[in-house]
Formats: sequence, C-alpha cells, structure tokens
Amino acid sequence: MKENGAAMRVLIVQDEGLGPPMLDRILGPGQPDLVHARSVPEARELLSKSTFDVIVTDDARLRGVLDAIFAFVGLFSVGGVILDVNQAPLSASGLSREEVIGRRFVDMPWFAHSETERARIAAAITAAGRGESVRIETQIWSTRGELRWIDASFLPLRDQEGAITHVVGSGVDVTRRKRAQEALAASQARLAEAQRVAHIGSWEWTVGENHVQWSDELYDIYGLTKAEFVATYEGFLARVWPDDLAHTQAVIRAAVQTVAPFVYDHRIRRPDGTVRMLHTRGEVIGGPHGKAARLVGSCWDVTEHWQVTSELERSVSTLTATLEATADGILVGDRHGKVAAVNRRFLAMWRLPSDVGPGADIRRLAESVRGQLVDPDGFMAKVTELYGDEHSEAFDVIRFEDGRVFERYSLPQRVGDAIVGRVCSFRDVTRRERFLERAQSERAAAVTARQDLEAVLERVSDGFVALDRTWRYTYVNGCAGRLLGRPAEALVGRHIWTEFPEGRGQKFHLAYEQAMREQRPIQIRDKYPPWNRWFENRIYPSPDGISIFFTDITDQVMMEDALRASNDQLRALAARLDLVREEERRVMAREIHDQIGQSLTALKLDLAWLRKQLDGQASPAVAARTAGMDGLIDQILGTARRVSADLRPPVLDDLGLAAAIAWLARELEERTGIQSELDLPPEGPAFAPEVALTLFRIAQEALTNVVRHAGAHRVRIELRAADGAAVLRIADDGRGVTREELERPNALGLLGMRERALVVGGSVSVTGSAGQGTTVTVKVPLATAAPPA
Amino acid sequence: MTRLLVVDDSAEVRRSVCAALGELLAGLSFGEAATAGEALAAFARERWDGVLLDLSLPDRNGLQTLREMRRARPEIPVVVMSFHPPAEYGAAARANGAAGYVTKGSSPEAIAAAVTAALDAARNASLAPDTR
Repeated sequence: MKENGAAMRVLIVQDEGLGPPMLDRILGPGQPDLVHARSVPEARELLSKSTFDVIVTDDARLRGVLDAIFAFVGLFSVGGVILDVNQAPLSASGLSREEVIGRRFVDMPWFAHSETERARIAAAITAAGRGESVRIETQIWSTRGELRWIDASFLPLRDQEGAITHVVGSGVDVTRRKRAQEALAASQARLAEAQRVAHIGSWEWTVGENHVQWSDELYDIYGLTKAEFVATYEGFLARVWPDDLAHTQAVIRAAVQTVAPFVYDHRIRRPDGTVRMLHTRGEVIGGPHGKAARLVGSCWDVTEHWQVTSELERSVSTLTATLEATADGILVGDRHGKVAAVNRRFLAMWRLPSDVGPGADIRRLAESVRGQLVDPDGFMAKVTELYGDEHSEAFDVIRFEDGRVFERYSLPQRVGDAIVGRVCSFRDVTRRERFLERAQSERAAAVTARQDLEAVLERVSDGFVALDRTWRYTYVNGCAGRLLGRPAEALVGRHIWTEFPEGRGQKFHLAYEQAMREQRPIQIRDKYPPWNRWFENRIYPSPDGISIFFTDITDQVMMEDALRASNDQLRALAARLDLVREEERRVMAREIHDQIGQSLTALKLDLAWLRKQLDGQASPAVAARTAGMDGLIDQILGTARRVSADLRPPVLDDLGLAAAIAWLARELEERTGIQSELDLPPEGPAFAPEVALTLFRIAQEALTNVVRHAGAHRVRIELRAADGAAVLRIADDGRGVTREELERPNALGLLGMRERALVVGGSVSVTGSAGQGTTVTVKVPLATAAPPA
Repeated sequence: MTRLLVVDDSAEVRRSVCAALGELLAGLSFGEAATAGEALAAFARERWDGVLLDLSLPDRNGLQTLREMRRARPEIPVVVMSFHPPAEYGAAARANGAAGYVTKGSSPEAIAAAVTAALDAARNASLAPDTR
C-alpha cells in the first residue's frame, strides 16, 4: 500500500545494552523503512551510505547530538500526541521530556499565544496524518517571552504496508533570517522613501543583458509609467534631449571602458513636453576579466538650480555689458576692500593697467594713483573713511594734477537689506569744471575764452550765477538776469544778500551756505516765498565759491496743481451735474403726475359719466369708441406711472431708501424673473437725502449690471447702518465678474458708481470669482459732508 | 347728509370725483381742499364723515397729512386716492391709518365702493363703542 516511493526512511540507533528501546515500544517491530543501527559508529556508516529523513534514537550519545542541534524534532501519533522530542523544543519551553510526552503537541505552551497558530499546527498534523507533507512557517512563544519564527514541516511515517503510523515534526528557528528579511524590507522601504523625499531616483544597467532597471522615483522624474519605458540603454537614450545626447553617450562609454565612477548632467523631455535638467552620478561594477558588468547610478532633478545658474550667468553678462556701456568709470568693492568688478572706463580714467581686476586691493590701487591728484592726502582720507564705514555715502569732486576733474559718487552696494560691498562711480566733469573755473576767475581768463564761455552760458535756458566766497556775484548770465529781474551786468560784484535781502534765511540761502561750507554739490527744489515762485537749483561748490544753475519751475508746479484742481473741479462738476439731473428728473416726475396724471384721472371719470349717459341710446359704434377711449386712458395712465417712477421713484422721497430698494427688487422680479432676498432695516434709518439717493442710484446701476451681464437667478440685497456708515451690498449668483472686466476703464459703470459714492465720501468695491457670482459693496458715511453746491 | 372732504390739488380731479360719487352715492355732500393746509383747516373747522385724500399734495407729504388727520380726529375714516399703485404705497397708507386705498384712474364704481366701505366701517365702529 505504498502510495509513493518516497516513503520516509527512519534510522533508529539503539544500543543493545540499554534495555528495550523506547521507539520499538512505540512504533512496533518490523517496519520496512525503519533501519536499525546498533551503535553510533554503525549509524555513522549508514548515514554516509544512505540518506534518512529522520533519525530516532534513545542512545544517550546520539540523543546528545540530536539534542545539541538547534532544529526541533518530534515524533507524534497521527492524533498529534507527542511520543518523543529532542532537546531544542524543551529548552525553548522550559519543560522536561517527561512533562511533554503523552500530551497533545498543540496543547504545548509554544502555541499559547495564538489560537490561529494552534489551529494551523493542528491542521498540519492532521494533514500529515492523512499522508501529506506539510511545510509551514509558524510562530512559537519561547520561554524568554518572545515570539520566534519557525520553519516547520510535518511528514507522515508509514509502516511496511504503507499505512500511516506516525507523524514526524521538525522545525528550524528562522527568526534571525525573518528579522533580517523584515529589516531589509524596511530598509528598502526607507530608501525608497528617502529617494522619494529627496526626489532621487536610482537605476541599474546590466550591460551584458542590456537591461535597465529604474526606481519608482526615477519614473516620476521622467514623468513616465512603467509601461511607457523601454527598459534598455537605447530606451534611456531616447529620453535624452538631443543636444545632450552625444555628451551623455560619451560619458557612459568612457565609464564602461575605464570601469570608473562617472558624473554627467543631461536634459530630458517629458511626455508632457516639459524639459528638465537631471544630474547623474554613478559607478561601474566590474565583472570577469575586468570588464564592466553593471552600471548603477543615482539621478536627481536639478532643473531649478540649473535655471537659477543660467539666469545668473545671463545677469552677470548683462551686468558686465552694462558696466562697459556706461560713460562712467565704475568700481565695485567687496566688504574686505577688494575689487569685485571694474569696467574698462574706470581703468582708463585712473590710468591703471588693464590687468587690474577682481581681487585687487582697493587701498593699494588708491595708493598707486595718489600721485596723480591735487590733494592726495584728502583723497586717501576719504578712501579710508568710505571703506571704514560701510553705510557711508559720498558725492564729491576729485581734482587731478593734470587738470582733470572727476565727480565721485560712492554708496553701499546692497542685496536686499544686507550691505555686500560698495559701488563707486566716477564721471569726468573736466569740461564743465573748466567752464565754471573760468567763470570764477573772470579777470584771468582770456577774452576769447570768456566770450566762448559767455556765449555758451547765455545760450543755456537755465539761469547761471557764480558767487565768490564773500557772496559777491562774479558772473551772471542773461537768463539769470531775467529771472532775478535785474540787468546781469548790474549784479556782478554786488553782494547777493544786499541785493536780495528778502532771501536771507530762506531754504535756498541755507543750501548755498551748506554747499560752500561742506564743499559738496547740492540740488534743491522748493518755493521761494518772497516772490511766490518755485525754483530748482543745482549748486556746485569750488574752493573759490559756488556756481548755481537755477530755473523757474513755477509753471510746472502750477500745472501739476492745476491738473489736480481741475480733476477735483471735474469731479465736483460731475457731481453738480448729477444733482441738477436728479432735480430735473424729480420735477419731470412731478409734472407727469400733476399734469398728465390729474387730467387723465378727471378724463377717466368724466368719460365714465358720459358712457352712462349714453347707455342704451348710443349706436354700437359710439359705444365701441367710448370703450376704446377708456382703455386708452388706462394705457396712458400706466405709461405715465412707469415713466414717472423711472425718473424718480416717489417711494424714495416719501417712504425712504429701504422701501425704494424693496420696490426696485419687486420691479426686477416682474421684469426679469430674478428673485431677490432682502435684508433691509425694518424701520428705515433716516439717511440724509443725498446719501439715500446715492445708494439708490448705485443699487439701480448694480441691478442693471446683474440683468445685463451676470446671468443670475437670485440676488441678495443687504442694507445696514453701523459704525457711522451705511453699507449696501448686492450679491448675485451669476457667472462672476472677471478680473479683466474689472480692469477695463469704465468697467460695468463702476467708474460712475465710484464717482457717485465719492461725492458723499463713500467707496465702492466689486468682487467676484468665476461661477461664484459678483458682489458690489457700497460704503457711505452717514454723517456726510455737504454735497458740492 | 353724509359729508365727504375731497383733497386734491387739481380742481379738475376734485370736480370729476365729486360728480362721479354724487351720481353713484345718495345722500352725500362734498367739501373740497386743494392743499394739505386747506384740508387740515377745514378738517378742524367743520364736521366730516370721511375724507378722500390724494397723497401728492403741493405743500406737504401726503402720508404726513394722513397721520395728522388721524391724530386729530381718529373717528373720521380717510380713504387714500393716489396716482401710485398700491404695491408702492398701500402698506404705508394702511400703517398710517388709512381706511382704504384706490388708485387714480380706477372706475367711479371702484372709488365709490372704497368710500362706502370706509364710511360703513366707521359708522359700525361708532355704533358699537364697546368694541373699541
């Protein structure tokens, strides 16, 4: 009855000297697959010739071997009762062999932790008892109070006839392997997570098989799904931006040939068309004969960094171009007094060698040029001062021995709020200075030069005067004479404050004194009250006095004022026109009521009387005509009512703003079907008439917009008076006003609404978003200023 | 005789209203006033059973006139006759004590019905003073 040829072979090792062997007692004699060894050496010989599934022994020494192994071995009845076990499970449970034998395996404390495990083991033993070989992974509870993973198998044991007599169980503690597996899984998960967080992808290319494997993050970086990527080297190259293809291939080819680490940047084009810059670094894993077997790499997206870098490069080249294009000499220093940038013009102006560039020491440069200067010590002192105080600014004049004159403008260079260095710009003002110097040393100047100078100065449209250190005019051009109201030649040699005593103490006087005292150019733009005119002055000092260019800017200032005033007047006029129009409308509404309404009322009653008189006597034609007249009167009355209300709803004047708004809402619903939800004060606060009218007209305009543009079904109108202001809010459920609509010059009559509100000191705001409707909010102070009359 | 004061600034309206009501209602005599001032003076000076009042008067707000009449002689019913439809002024007129509201341009019968209803209601109220 052998069901298969692989019946279990059991080696029984039994020392005859040890009395009746336990196994014989248990198993019964004569089992064909039961091989007996009488001694350990015999058993060893048998084991070397043949393989056995289970070794069972009561031999103390062999048991010693069995017991020494970590594997759990046990022999059970088909019902799962323990017949024998080795030491390992006993150690694990802290039980003695005697306590265990004769009890059901599943009742052992090893399975006390879980009914599920107990049931699985019971099922496995039952299955083995039916002839199956069962291998399961289970957990047991060890004496050390921890769960251990066991790789267990249960095998049937058959007799000669093939009948199953026993079940053999064995197990190996695989907890360490299991934990290692779990730790590996956890660590891989952490790696994947770290890559995801850092947006680092990884890849591996098995060169021989030309197979490429990507991490999930790399798929995200490329914007590809697993199905879209052809996992070969060529599939990878197909994703590389064409311009970067040759370089990428070259780097990888070199890496394969040299079996050396590699780094490269390349762009890719994602399926959605976006281009990204990727940074890859990796290494080559060598195979047999020193050839490259695999390439592994990490890859991350550096697009933003690349963009910033490219942007920076562009800015730097723009900056350099700008520096070179300017007529000024420019020196940019860092905080340590080293050159950060200079332009060629600077080097030329200061006669410095063309190889002076970034990194050069500014103080040393200054020392090298001091010999060219009229006042080298003053110049060096200034340099020391400027580079000693990073906040300092300077605008001064530098004179050269060869007659050249530079204006220096020096100020801190800032990036955001931080000072990162200093920028100095130098302008060659020699020509201008020469003119001024000649003007100041009139007597010394050659006649022709003076004529030239005067010709120039007479032609400039600005006033120009030169004053010496004693405040006497040394030169006055024609324009200055005209501006000062004196013949120019009459002023030369005169003391300015004697000629113009009213100017003493004025801002211009103070500026002249400051320029003279501090020897620095000053610009001032202010009113000169004695003449009630505005002037702009540019004051240039020299050791001999000051020169002043000045111009009358009164017209310009007045123009600006006039423009402002004119705008105010326009607004007032518009408001006034509005008042007039409102008054006209009110009068017309009244006229319609008084003239047309009253006459029609009387006519209607008289016609009724007439028809009654004619009753029965009139011809059908007369009756039809009079009936027609009655209908016509009704029609005209209706029209008169509507026109009158459109011009000026009487409700507004008689019943107040809240009633008038309620009337507007009723009208709106009758005309368009748009329903209104009203939140109005029950007892209308007594708004000033102009406030009420303003709010009413704005509400009317806003509702007109709702009908024309909004496509709304409902509108909510709120009116409140709180904190000294009336607030009217009209919100619809339409398509929502767009930003573009709001930005148009007279968007939706918004300008009109704003102007109306402005007249009574109020404001209008309009908000909306697509699909969310539009809200117009008007806020008007209750204690309003009187409207412009 | 039941005396009705007709207040309207248009002589044509007063004439035609008095004529129409005179035709339709027996035992009615009329007084006329063209302004709120005239109306209130007549109201204080003479005996009236009812008032037909236009809301649009040249010298004073009609609703204010109505309130003053009600305050002075609450037993005299005032029917408002206005150019404006009742949707606009009906509630306000009632809130200020009007006994009825007719629109100008209504038929003579409608005006007569409003006046009769107001006069009857006032007469019944005065006959049963305990209900007030």
